[in-house]
Amino acid sequence: MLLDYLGLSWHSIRNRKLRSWLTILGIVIGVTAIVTLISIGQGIQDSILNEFEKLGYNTITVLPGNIDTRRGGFGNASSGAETYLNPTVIEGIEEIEVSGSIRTETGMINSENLQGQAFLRVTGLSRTILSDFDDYFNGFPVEQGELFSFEGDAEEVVIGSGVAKDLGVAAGEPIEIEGREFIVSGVLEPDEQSDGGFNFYGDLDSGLFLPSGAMDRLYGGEGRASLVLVKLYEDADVSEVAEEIEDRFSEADIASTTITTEEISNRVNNALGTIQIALAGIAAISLLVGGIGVMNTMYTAVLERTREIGVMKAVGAKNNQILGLFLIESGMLGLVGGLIGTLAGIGISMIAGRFINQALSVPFSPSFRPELLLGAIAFSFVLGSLSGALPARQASNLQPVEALRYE
Amino acid sequence: MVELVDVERKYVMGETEVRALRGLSLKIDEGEFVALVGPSGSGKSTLMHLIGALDVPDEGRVLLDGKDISEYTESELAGIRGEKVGFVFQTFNLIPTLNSLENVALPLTFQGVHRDERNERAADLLDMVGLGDRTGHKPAELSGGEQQRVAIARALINDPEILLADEPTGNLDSETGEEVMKLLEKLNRDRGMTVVIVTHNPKDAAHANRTINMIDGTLDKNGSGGDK
Repeated sequence: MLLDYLGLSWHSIRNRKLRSWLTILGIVIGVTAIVTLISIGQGIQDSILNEFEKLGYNTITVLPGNIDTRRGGFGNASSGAETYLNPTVIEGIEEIEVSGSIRTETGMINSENLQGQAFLRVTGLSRTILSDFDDYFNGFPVEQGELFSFEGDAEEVVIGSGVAKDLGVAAGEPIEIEGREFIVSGVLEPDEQSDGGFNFYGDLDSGLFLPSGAMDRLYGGEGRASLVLVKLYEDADVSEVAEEIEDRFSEADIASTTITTEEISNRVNNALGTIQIALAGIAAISLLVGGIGVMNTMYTAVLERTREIGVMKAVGAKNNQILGLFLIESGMLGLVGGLIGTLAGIGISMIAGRFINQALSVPFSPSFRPELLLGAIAFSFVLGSLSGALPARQASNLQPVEALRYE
Repeated sequence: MVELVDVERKYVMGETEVRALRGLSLKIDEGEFVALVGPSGSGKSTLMHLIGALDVPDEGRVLLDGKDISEYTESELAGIRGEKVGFVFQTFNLIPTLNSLENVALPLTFQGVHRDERNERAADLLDMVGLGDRTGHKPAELSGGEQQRVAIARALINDPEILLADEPTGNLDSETGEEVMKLLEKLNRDRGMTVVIVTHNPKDAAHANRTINMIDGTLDKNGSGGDK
């Protein structure tokens, strides 16, 4: 029965090829926009989260100062006296497997080949940062020379490739930091992910890196950290430990803020989710316009086929059969539009994905969730049918005698 | 089988009200071949629509097999049309997007008859009206006479008790018209089918065994021919 109706609807859609296709095009554009925006948005979300997940869900990042993470914008520590954390405060928390600290200062740099001085970021690293958190620094790849030693009092520094170029120094050569001489033990590989990649330390290219011992000797103040990373045992309750860490710091009169991967994920999900809804909303407007197109076409079809409707009624078609016939017809316009639009959306996302992949520092591919694709197709059918509802009602309510008389 | 009692039917055409039928009473028996004759606007088509349950009267009663059609719902009326009535129109009124076979089978689609059975019955009827080789043709590919024969086949697909034809030869040349009339006469004679035609053409009316003259929405007593 349904198949018979589909057949009849198909005949009349095919009979008005151009108009049908134009109507379908209206739906196609809307569906394409929605599928493209959502699958790209979802892809971006996935790839950003993927980066965070590299840190692992059992990692806690601790920053100095009170940062209202609830309002977003982590990384902007409140500027105050308390801009350092003392990592020894959290020693003894059972759930902590390992922790590492980073201290960042701005240093005055001199070298033989440099006219005048340069002010650059100097970062002190605890040994564990490189042994247990090396994802954080993209593996900290030393290209030329070797890594500094954490043992002894050697005055060694590893510098980013950009710094090496600007200062005109190579591995084994001396530079001055705050007037003290250091030997460049190694130069890092150029950091290809440096721009746009998310990290707390800035890019590797423009930094100088010291072991934390040397850092403290240079700037004074033992155990000063600008950032502490904490890795917990697998089964630890992350948010509970995060709370305890904040408590410990506050007992020591140090304001601190903990960031967990889960929190970040939630925030990224929320922020991107909102953007996605907004974009999809805009795309939905074009779909709505497509629906109005279907309505327009169906009203025209009812007018054009008034006599036909009269004939169908004369030969025994009931009102709800005429209604069904027109609903299926408009639903089919929507369905075909939805199918083509979904395919086009997949195509466009894949092409756009290539460009985004080049622009974004993290690996990206659009995400095609089956529920999105099937949902888009199903929704198009429903939209088509709904748009056709009023015209179909008009058709079904026609008086057979008047419909037959219609010229 | 059909009885009309004091039937009134009005239409609003633009701003004027037209009294198409004015207190008309009439009885048509099973197996009759009736021709409704009269000038334009005399209410012939309106009468035919009432007989075919395509319309209901404003006043008076239309009894089909003894039951008043005003008491049926629209859906029940559609059911009656689908089961008991066959319509043939002056302008054929075939669905242009469907081929002959599909057009003939269309009424059965609304009865929920299976496709195979529909097609078989439609093909048989097309054979009967001499269009067995035209099943795949669309209406635009057929001559007027052929289209009207397809329309007649369509009207017969539900094996109706009564066949109603509104000016069936009006758009045909006289020779083709004559063939169509012979077909209707044959259906009446061989199958005992009740046939009612509306016509301007005395030659068509001559095929009927009763002529009913109409004027101004009622029967023209003076002109009624009675039984042949």
